[in-house]
Amino acid sequence: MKSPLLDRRAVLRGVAGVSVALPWLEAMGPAKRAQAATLSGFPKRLIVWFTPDGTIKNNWTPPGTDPTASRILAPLARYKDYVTVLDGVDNVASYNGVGDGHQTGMGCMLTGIELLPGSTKGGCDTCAPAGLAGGPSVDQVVVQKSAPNTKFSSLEMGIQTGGGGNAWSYSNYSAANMPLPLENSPANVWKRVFTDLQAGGGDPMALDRLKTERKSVLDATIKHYQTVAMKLGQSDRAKMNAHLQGVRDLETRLLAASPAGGAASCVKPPQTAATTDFRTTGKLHMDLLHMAMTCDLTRVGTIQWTRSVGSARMDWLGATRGQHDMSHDANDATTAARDVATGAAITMPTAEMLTRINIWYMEQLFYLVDKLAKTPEGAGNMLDNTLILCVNELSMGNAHNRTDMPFLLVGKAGGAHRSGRVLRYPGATRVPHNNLMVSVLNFMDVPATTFGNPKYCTGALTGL
Amino acid sequence: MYKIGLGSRLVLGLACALMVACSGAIGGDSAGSGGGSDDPAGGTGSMPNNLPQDTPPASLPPDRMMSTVCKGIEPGPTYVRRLTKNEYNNVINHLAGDTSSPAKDFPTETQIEGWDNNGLAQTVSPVLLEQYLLIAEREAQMLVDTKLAALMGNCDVATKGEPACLMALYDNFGRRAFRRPLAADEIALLKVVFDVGKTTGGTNGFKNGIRLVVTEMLLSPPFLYRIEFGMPAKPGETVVRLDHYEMASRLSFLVWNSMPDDMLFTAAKDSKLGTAAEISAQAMRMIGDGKAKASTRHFYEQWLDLDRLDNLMKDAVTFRTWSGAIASAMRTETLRFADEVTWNDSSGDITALLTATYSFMTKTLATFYGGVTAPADDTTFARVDLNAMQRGGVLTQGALMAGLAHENQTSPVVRGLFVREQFLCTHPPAPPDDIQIVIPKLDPTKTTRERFAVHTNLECARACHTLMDPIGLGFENFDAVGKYRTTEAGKRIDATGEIIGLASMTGDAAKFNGPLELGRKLASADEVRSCVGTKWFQYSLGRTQDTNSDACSLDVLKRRFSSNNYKLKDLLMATVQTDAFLFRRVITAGGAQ
Repeated sequence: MKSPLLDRRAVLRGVAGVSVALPWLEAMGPAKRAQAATLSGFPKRLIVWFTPDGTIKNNWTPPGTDPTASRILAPLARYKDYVTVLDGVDNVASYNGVGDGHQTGMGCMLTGIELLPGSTKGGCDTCAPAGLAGGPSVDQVVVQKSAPNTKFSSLEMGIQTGGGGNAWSYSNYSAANMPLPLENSPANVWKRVFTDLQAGGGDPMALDRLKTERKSVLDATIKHYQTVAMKLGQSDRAKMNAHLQGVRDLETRLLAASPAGGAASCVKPPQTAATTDFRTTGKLHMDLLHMAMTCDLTRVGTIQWTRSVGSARMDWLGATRGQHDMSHDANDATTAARDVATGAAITMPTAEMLTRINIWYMEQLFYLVDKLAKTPEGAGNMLDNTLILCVNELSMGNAHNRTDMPFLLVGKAGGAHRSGRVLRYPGATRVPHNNLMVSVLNFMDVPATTFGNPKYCTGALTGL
Repeated sequence: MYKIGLGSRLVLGLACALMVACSGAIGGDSAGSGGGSDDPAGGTGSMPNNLPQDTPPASLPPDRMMSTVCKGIEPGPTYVRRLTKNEYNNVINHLAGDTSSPAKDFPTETQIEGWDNNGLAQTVSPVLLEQYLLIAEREAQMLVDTKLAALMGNCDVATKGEPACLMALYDNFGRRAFRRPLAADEIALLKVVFDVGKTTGGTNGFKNGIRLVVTEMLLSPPFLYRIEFGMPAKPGETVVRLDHYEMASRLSFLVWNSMPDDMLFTAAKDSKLGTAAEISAQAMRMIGDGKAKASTRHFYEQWLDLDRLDNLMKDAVTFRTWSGAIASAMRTETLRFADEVTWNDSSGDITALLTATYSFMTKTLATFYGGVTAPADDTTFARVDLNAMQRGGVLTQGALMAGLAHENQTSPVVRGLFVREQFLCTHPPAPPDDIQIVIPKLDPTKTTRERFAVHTNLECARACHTLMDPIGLGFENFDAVGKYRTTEAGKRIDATGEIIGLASMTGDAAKFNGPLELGRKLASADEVRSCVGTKWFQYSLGRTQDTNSDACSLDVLKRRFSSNNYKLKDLLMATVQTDAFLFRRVITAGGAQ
C-alpha cells in the first residue's frame, strides 16, 4: 500500500469484594441491552493504556513471530495469543500543524489531527503556538457512535498525572479543545462509581424523592443556562451550551440510569482507601476499572500512567532518577542507581534502567490482562470481549520521534481482533497511526473508513 | 517517591540541539508598545470619541489621559469566566462560611501561558459537573440546617409568610450568590423548584423548598460564571461600561480572588461604581484588606511556576539530604518572600524582588542551605538575613534553583529559558523535531560550563542556546538542589554571562558576573519591567493580550507601574485604570466576541 504521505527517512532526518444484593445497581432502573454486544451477549469494551516517554525500541520489538518474545513484552507471554505487536506504525499527524513535536506527540496520539492554535508557545519560529487537541480521541468516538447505555459513558483514571492542564496532560478528548480530566484518586473513583450519586440508602421511597428533587433542580439549571446563552456572543454562547449539555447528560445519568450488566462476577468492591502511592494507585485503578466493566457500568476506560514527560521515579527498581530525566540521556550514557537487593549505589547504562521501567509497566498491564482473562463471560472470558490499545506519546525518549511507535493491542474485541501476531510495516512509506484508529473503531463495531484528519489516513490498517 | 515531569517547554526545552540547524530568531514582547488602536471610532490623543454617552471624558483615569498610544476606547474581547478552583473555594468560604476548600477534588484547570483563569481554556467535564452537584447539595443542606434565618435576612416565616420570606431569600442569599439582584425570570424559575421541594419535603416543606432553591443557585450560571453584559448600549455605541454589580465583581475577583463584600454590594446598589475615580477609591480600600494577599500570591505561584516544587525529585545518590519536605519548604519560602516584598518591603519593587538579601526559612531549610543563621525551630518561617555576597532575590532561592535543574546536575538551559520566558516574555524556539535531545554526560573532571560548551561549539545549537545558556550559566553558583557552591569538579565556578538580545542593554552593559549582578541587571532592564506588566495583565484580566486591541490598556498599565517605581503592589491599581478593565464591547447576541 503506497501512500502519498511523507517519506519516512525525510522525516527521520529531521481486593476481595463482597457479593451483595446490589441495591446500588438495582436502583439504576431496568436493564436495557445496548449496542456493541458480542455474539455471546456480553458487551465489548475498549481500554486505553498509556505509558510515557517512549521506550527502548530494540528491547521492545520482538524479532520473530511471537508477539511477546522481547525483553519488554515478555511479561505478557502467558497471553501471547491475545497480543498483536505493530512494528513500524507512525504518528504522522504529530508532524503537522501547530506546536512542536513534544506537544503533538501527546495531543495527536488518540486524535490523529493537528493541535488547535493556542497560546502555549513551542516549535520552531515558524510554528504557531499550540492549544489542545483538534478533535475527539478514538475512545470517545467509540462512546459517541456506539452510545452505550451505561451509567458512565467512559472512565478516565490516572496515576499521578500531575497538576497543570495542557496538551501534555490529556489522552482523552470528547471533542476539539474538550479534554477529559483524569481521576487520580482510587478512593474518589470508588465513591463515584460504586456508591455514586444515588443516595437514598437503598430505600426506594427516598430514591424516588431524590430523583424528583434533582429533576426539578437540574431542569431549572438547564433553563437558566439556556436563557443566559441566548444573550451572549458566539464563543461565550458555545461555552454555556456545552455546560448545559453536560447538565443534560448528568440528568440523564441520574434519572434514567443504566443497565446493570448482570454478570455473575459483578461484585461491589469494598470501599477503597485513600492513597497516593504510585504502585497502589495503579493497581486499585485497574481493580476498579475491571469491576466497573464487569458490572457494565462503563465499556470504555483509560488508564494513564503519569503523562507526556511523566517522571515516576521507580525506586523499587533501583532508580534514583525519574523516568523523564533519564529518557534524555544519550544512548550510551550511564546513570546512578541502587542495587535492588543490597541498596548499594551502583552505575548502570541508562538504557538498561529505562528497559526495566518499561518491563515494569508491562507487568502492570499483565495484572489487568490477567484479571480480564480470569473473568468468565459465557463460554469465554472478559479478555475475549475487550480491546486494550496501548499507546505512548513517543517512540524513543531521547530522540523524541513519533515514528515506529510502540503500539500494542491486547484482547480479542469479541473476535474482531485477530490477535497473536507481529505485524511489520517496513519500508520508506510512512504508515499513519490514524489507520490503526480506524481498525480500532471497526473492532468496536463503529463503521469508519477514516479517522482524525483524513490527510493522514488511508483506511484501516493493512493486515490487522 | 516520584515526580511528575513538568509539562512545559521549560523541561522539554532543556535540549541540546545537536544535529539540525536551529532558527534562532529572538522573539519580542509583542504587546509591549506601539501599534495603537485601529478603531475607526478612535479620536486622537487623550480624547476618545467613542465614549459611552454617560461617561464624561473627565471620568477617565489620569494615566489614560497621559498615554499617547490610546485613541478610541478599546477594551479588547471580554469572555465569560468560570470560577477557578481557587475562586470557587474562596467564594464558598465567603458565601457559606465553609473553609474546607471543596474544590480541591475538582479536575485540574486547563492552563494558557501557565494561568489557570483564562476564559478561553475553561471547559466542563462530566466529573466537574458531578462535583458541582454534590457540593451544591451538601452546601445547601448545611446552610438550611444551620443558617436558614440568615439566608433570608432573618425573615420570620410565622409572621411574614412564606412568599415574603422566599423573596427575602432572593434579596439576601440570592443577591450574594448571584453577585447581583435576581431577574424576574430567575424568580419564576426558582419558584417552580421551591414548589417541588415544598411538596416532597412534607412537614418540612418550606425548609426543603429553600434547600432546593439554594442548590439550583449554586449550580447556576450567575454563580459558577462571571458573566458581564455591560450597561445597555445606546444606538451607535460599540463599547459600554460595566454595570455597577458587574464592576463590583470585577474588583473583588481582581483584588481578592473572591466575591464582593457588603461595602461593594452597597456601592453597586447605590450606583457608585461607575467612574474611574469611584472604582479606584474602592480598589484602594480593598487593597488595604488582608484578603488582597491571596490574589498576588496566586499570581506568584503561577508566574514562578511553583507547582514544579510538588514532589520535586533529586538523584538520591548525589543528593542524600534532599527530601519532599525540603522542596515544600522552598515553595513556602518563595511565597513568604514574595508576600513580604509586595506588601511590607519599603521599596516593594522589582528590584527588591530580584535582589533583596533576606528570606524566610525554617530551621530545617536554613540548615539545608547552610551559610545563614538558622531560626530556632521549624514552627514558623522566620525572616533570616542572607549572606549578601552569595544570595539575593527570588531567582537565587531554592524554589527556582532546585526547581530549574535536572535531578543529578544543574541546567543552564532550563534556568536561562525560564528567565527568557517569565522575565523577558520571549519564547526561544524549541528544538527542532527528531533530533537527539540529550543532556551532556556527567564528567567528574569537567564543570557544567565546560560540558555545555558543546552548544557553542556547534554552529546549529549556538543559534538557540546563546539565548539561554549565557543567562543560565550565571546561576552556576547554585547546584541542582539550590545550595551555594564556589567550585565544581575541583575548579572554580565561572558565573560570568550575558543577557543577549536586549534593546535596553547592549555590549558590556549586558554582561554580568554571578547571580547577584544578573539580578540587578534584570531588575533595571526595561524589558523585564515591561514583561512583568504583561504577565500581570494576563493574570489580572484572565486572557492573553492582543497586540492591537490591548495596546492602550497595556500602555496605561505599564505607565502606571512605571510612575510608581515598579512597586509590585501597585499592579493591582494599574489594572483598574485600563480600558480592558473599565469597559467591554457591546454584545452582539450570537455574534463575534
